[in-house]
Amino acid sequence: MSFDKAEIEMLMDGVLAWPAVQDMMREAKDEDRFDKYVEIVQERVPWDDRILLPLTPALSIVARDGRRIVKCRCGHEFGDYRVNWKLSSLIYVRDDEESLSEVYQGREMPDPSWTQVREYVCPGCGTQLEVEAVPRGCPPDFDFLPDLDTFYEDWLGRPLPDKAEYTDLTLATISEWTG
Amino acid sequence: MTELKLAEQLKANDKVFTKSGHLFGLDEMKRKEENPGDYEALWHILSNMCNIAWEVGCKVSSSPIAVEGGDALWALHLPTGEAVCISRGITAHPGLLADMIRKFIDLGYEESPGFAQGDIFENNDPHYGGIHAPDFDTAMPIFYDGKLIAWASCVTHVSDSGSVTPGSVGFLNPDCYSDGVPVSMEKVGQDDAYYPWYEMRIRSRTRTPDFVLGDAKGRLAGCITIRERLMEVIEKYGIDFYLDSVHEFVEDSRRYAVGRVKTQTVPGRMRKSQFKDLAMKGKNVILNKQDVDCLMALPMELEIDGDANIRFSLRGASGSVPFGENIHPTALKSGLLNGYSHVIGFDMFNSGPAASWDVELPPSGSWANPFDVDWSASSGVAWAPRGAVDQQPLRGLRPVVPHAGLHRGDGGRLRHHDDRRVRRHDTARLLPRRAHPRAGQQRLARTWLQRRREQRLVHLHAQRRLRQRRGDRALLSDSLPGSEHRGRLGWLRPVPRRARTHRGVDGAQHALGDRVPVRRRRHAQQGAREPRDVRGVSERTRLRQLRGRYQREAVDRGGQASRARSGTCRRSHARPQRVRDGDRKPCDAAIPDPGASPELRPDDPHRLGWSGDGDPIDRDPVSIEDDLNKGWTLPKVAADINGAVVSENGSFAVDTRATEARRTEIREKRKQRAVPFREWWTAEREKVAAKENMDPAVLEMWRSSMSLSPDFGAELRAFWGLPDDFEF
Amino acid sequence: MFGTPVIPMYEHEVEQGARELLVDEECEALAIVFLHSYTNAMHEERAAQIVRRVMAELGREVPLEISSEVAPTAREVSRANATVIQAYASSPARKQLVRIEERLKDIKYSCNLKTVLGYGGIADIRYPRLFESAMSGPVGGLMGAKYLSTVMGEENIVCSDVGGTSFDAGAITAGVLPIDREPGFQEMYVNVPMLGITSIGAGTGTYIRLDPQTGRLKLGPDSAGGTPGPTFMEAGNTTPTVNDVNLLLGILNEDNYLGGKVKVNKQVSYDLFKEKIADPLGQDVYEAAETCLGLLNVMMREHLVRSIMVGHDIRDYVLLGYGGGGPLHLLGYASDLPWKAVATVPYAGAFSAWGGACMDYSFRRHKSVASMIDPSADDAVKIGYLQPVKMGWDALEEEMLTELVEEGFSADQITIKRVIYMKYLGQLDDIEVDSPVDSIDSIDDVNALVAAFEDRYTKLFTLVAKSEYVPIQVSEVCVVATVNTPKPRLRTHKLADRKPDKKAFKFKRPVFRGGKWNDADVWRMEDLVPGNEIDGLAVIEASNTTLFVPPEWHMRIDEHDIYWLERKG
Repeated sequence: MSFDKAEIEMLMDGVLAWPAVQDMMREAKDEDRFDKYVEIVQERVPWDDRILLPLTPALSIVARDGRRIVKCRCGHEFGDYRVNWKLSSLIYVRDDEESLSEVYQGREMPDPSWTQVREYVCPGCGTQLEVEAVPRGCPPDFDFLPDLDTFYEDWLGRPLPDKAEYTDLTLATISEWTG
Repeated sequence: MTELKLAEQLKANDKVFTKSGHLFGLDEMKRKEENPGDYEALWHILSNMCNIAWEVGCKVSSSPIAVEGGDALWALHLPTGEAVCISRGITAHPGLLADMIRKFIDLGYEESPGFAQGDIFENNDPHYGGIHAPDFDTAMPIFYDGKLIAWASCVTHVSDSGSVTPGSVGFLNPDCYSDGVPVSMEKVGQDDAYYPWYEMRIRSRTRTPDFVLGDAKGRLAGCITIRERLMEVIEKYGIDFYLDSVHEFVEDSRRYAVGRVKTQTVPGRMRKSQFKDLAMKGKNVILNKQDVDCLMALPMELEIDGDANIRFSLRGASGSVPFGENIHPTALKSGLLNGYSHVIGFDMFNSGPAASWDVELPPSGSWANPFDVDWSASSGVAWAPRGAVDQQPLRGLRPVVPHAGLHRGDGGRLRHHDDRRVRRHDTARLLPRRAHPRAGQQRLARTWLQRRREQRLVHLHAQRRLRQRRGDRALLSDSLPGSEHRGRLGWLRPVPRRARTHRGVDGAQHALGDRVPVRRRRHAQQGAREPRDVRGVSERTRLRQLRGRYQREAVDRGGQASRARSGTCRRSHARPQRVRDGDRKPCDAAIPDPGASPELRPDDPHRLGWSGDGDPIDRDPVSIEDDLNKGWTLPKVAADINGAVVSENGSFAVDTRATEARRTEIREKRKQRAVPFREWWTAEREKVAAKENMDPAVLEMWRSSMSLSPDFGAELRAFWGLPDDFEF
Repeated sequence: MFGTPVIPMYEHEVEQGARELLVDEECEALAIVFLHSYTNAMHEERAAQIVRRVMAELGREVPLEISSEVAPTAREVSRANATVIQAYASSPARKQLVRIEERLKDIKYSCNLKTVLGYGGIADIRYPRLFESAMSGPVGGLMGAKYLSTVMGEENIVCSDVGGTSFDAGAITAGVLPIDREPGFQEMYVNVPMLGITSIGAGTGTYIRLDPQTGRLKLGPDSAGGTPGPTFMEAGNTTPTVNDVNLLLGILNEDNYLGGKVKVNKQVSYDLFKEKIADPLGQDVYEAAETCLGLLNVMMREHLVRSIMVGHDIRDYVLLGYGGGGPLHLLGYASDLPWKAVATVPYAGAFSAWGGACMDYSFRRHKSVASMIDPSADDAVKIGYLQPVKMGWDALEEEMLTELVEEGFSADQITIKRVIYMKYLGQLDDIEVDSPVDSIDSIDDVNALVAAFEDRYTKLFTLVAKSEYVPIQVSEVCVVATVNTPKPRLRTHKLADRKPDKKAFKFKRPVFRGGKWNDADVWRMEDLVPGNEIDGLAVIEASNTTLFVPPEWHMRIDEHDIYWLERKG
């Protein structure tokens, strides 16, 4: 089972007609969809680094100079994919009435002593990458740390040329900051 | 097949699985390979059999909860308890039912009281793995030729379980002593009849005993139906073929789930935190200890390894709460299996996939595993926190997205058989915590769920009916393409007219965040507030005026006396007051005004939309124009949130070029306004250390999260660079 | 709730609303639905009066319907839907039908045009409640079966229709058609009774696949339909279908597909089936094909078991197969269940159309009532409580007699049947009971009703579920008024010889069955006549259908040209 790249593209962009989406879901998983998907994402970015795994509509994990980093579609680089990319992002936090009420008015405004709304913005292009609504003290979610080597080698059957230990390096960065 | 006692068989099974990696040691599926036609035919027949049991059971039961709401289920199990196949219905229960049967065996019931044909065993007690008191889980052993060869099980959610407040969703239950009538891992009948004392207990302790007993009859009728038809099946196919095949069905399903994980996901670790507020201070509660604001932490970590094993962790879950929002880990796991199965999507729903799950026991003393520390914790609602978590695996399993290549709809696989349509399982329940539309989460908004086939429009239609009855205006539910980069359409739901003064009670139960913009939704009835960015269709109706005219009538219904009795499921029996012409006052309370007072009044509608997916200023101007002209969004939203430049001249038009310029501005402004994370972190950690502007509820939550999960606490301290002995 | 007005209707609001809708919003039709109008229609009627006056004043007339006239039952969601459909669709639909009738009259059609109602009656196109015809598609088959049952002298029939995509079934019990009072229509519930037919995706074009993940055999639920059709049509479909299997097994004749008008390529079927199904299963092509057919039979059989599951004894029922694919699969899904008898007809392929000619003028009217039978009450009280039932029947009967007389029928042509819906207090679903009595004047009448209910109830559910002490609630009544119409007369033929005429025999053809090839007698259906009998293994071919008779079966054509299938021995 295989779908046209054009169909995958429409699916990604949310314009594939619903019956077609259903048909797609009904079928067994097409084996080449991941590759087509990555190809499409690759075609849409202005840079050439090989995309290893798209992460979000704006961010991907790419291979760059022997490292694997998170990169925005605009080109801005966030660093090793094993460090929560949010640590390299711009952030705007709404933690008082004034800033919260820009988004939520009246009774719909959350209580700033319970919640802060964090907006992550790309330093390169200003795209809003992610939003969290969490109480003070909550470390930013490290949404997804993939085990890329297992994925490529064991599941896709084509190992990556390099290797990286599957481990969360976020706190290592933090401890550099705390010195 | 085996002469081992069931308890010994269970142990042997566990051993062989650990050793071989295959359930029951089935590295070869003999029946499936040698006789694929009969293997498949048997599956059809058994599924059918369970669905027939559903039909019978629901017709005999008295509960619209079962028939229309779908909150019931019948299932067939192996002698050792594993679920083989299930009927339509509440797929959150089969895991629990299997565990319950296993527990009967582990408790030695095979010896005493023994198992015999016609015996009825039941449990609704969360202390022993039940989900909550109104869900009665029943199992009956089935014998053939003197041997126990299967179990029939079922669950129905009854209309009243005798908890401190009427009804069957006991949010305000302060403790387990007010959860309702317990049936604790008991034999409640024999020879196909309930014991008289069982009926007496139901009559003594529930408010609607005829209905509850009607449900009991329904459960019994359904289980007997399974038993009788199973005999016919065995006569036709032979006991050996039957027993071999049903064991293979379970292993087959496990293999499928594993295989499916490998095609649908990417191995790695997913994390998502979530919070649920119970701002109950000053509200009408039952015991003093409930006069408190609580914040619950529902963090999730899900890790998939190279062998497609899934480890699920709730480390960091906060402590139990004095409301019905706690849950037993067995029930939690059962609920997760439900969610998991829908995402992975496979049409052999049984206990197989659970074997490739490792659900870590949640922190002892947390809301997800309270009893060792807080034996009295109530599970009146139980599924509410689970519901929040329920969605996480769905979401978590989707960054799977990259591999699946989809951010919509790859999650669910269609069941084959009759119903080809994917029921978009009220996706509300699939959404994780969200922020406002302009923010947009970058992960997928939707996972398409497919329900068991004949769920006969259960959720979609039952809810449509419910919504229509309450005067809701349901918007287009399949607005998938339209919701890219903007808030998703929801529907307007007037708060039910009950003489409840504290919407907070209802709200807290229903995850209407008072303090936290919670965006979870499980059933249509539950809502999360959305900013008024999402337009409600009722603006085109005269609901506003009509509501206004009857405003006073609604408030008059009830009165002081009924307020005092207010609870989550109170029904007002007061006669409505006549409203004379002169009494009516116009009121536009139908649509909440931005500046309205914080308290939601009865009859204030909620808008149940939710936030979108992706940066809102990425939304295609053509789509925005369409949204505006269809009335799905407001000009203010299009301008402020989507950064569009809009003009109106009869119809709306979006100036593409000007919009692009405006958006460029917005991006620049964002960059200027935001600061590098490290800079924020440096200032923020001081505030964290100083506990600046942190409500006591928040502090208490962190305290309990960190002490119940020391690892989690260590990580939190490490992140903010706090000393090792720092406490909130 | 009991029909007592609690709050007066705000008439000025009705008037204002009517004006706004008619003028400001320029609505095209109006439907009025009040919550409790089924009990007391006074507010709806008064509102309608006001609206009519406003329409007259404005000089703007649109169709206006009120729910208490359209469908006076308690279910407000479906009642509202039905009223709305009636309001906006009936008028334009009727106009279109009238135009068709005029065209017909132009070509000398001398009668009025009729339309089929969803519950199996026909009505003149001027019938007021035209929304009842909204879902009358599947009705033909069941109505044909009902008529056939009178000829057969059988009261219990399971009607099964195999098409290209779906397998539809419904059961007639004691001559009573299955009625669903709140069917789904375009994803809405509507309050129009409809014949109860359930379907699964299993037909002659159903796709056969192996799940790539599990290797399990999957039939459907989707199908290749007629277009692109089975792979042997070479019309673009490369996924094996059920008819590909039938062709491979020799049951379908490659030279006779659709009477020979369509060329088929059996090699294509073979190659694709081998590649996609047989080889991955590790089976011989023909064994695999037989496995698939076996699975299909199970699926269809199970569907029948479920659609008649509610307590009926299969041994009481005749299984009737029709539809283009009916005779082809009939004996497969009849299987080894102990049917009273199995039958089909030579016009199975056009059975639904034929069924259309077999319908009576028949109207149903339902009305919610609130009534109950309390076992502990004394006789007079019991009788008194049931008076709303009688009143409901009388009111409905009068309405329908008036309508039918207006259509031109005389009272003596009209048969009235009274139906009552009962359940144990607290249960959600009531059950339909044909009333053994016309009136409730004595305790004997009450007891007869209770007996009829309990009899039906224990047939439907297990004995466990019966209750001795719970009151019986009556929620609804119905009156069915029927006028017999001329039907196709199934002639009674003289029986010819058992042995068919030589010319009916075409040849022998190998058919794969039971793991090996066997020679089947191939007959021409058009040349078989009443009295003929044929032993399986046989294939009886017509231009638009094929009857497959496995070796264990025997076929006998009776004097009405009905084909009876029996197990040998």
